[in-house]
Amino acid sequence: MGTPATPLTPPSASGAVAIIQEIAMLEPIAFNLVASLVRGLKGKSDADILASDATDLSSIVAIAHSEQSK
Amino acid sequence: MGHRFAVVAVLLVVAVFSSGCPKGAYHGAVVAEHAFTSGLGAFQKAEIAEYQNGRISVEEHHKIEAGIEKIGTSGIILVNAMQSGAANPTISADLQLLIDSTTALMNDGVLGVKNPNSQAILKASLQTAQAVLSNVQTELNTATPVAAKP
Repeated sequence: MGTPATPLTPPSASGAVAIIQEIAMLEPIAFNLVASLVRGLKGKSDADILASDATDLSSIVAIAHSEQSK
Repeated sequence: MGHRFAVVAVLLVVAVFSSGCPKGAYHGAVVAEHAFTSGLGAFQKAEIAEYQNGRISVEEHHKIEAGIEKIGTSGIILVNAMQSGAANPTISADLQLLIDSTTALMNDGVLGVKNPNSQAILKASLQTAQAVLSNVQTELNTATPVAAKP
């Protein structure tokens, strides 16, 4: 007989609120990220999102390349 | 790390349900990929700020930016595959390249940063991006293939 598994606690509304509060307090970067994500996704198709991400990634690559010569 | 996964999971659920965008076969993976791109941009901005404030050496800066360039290039390959509607195994292989590039940046760049505060900031930021990538992987594993058109 092995060690019995720890039972999983079902999520509750108060638990969800606690997680969101924790995000707001302890994860400001993540909280800003979700706000930016929601703004970026609103009303866009998958094709729109991918096209925009291709542009963003190209910009990230260009900046990274330029920063290596500084 | 478990806490960060919980945070990222909540972020993605909120993002998916708030987006209101038309849903394709890889919609979950597209949303997660978008979160990763945003996270990579935030990581790059944080790294440049640490460098400009003198907390990261020029050698560390060059190494990390080289890693970001590789990740960005791998990301473009993945996005192109998703845009062209490539088969799931192709997209999964491209995703694996992206995951490997991110792991290499963590091991060879971020963990080598001497300033402990800068390392902690960059490590947390990159771990978030890694957690998002594991969500892309999960979404791809559960994606329903699109029926071939005649």
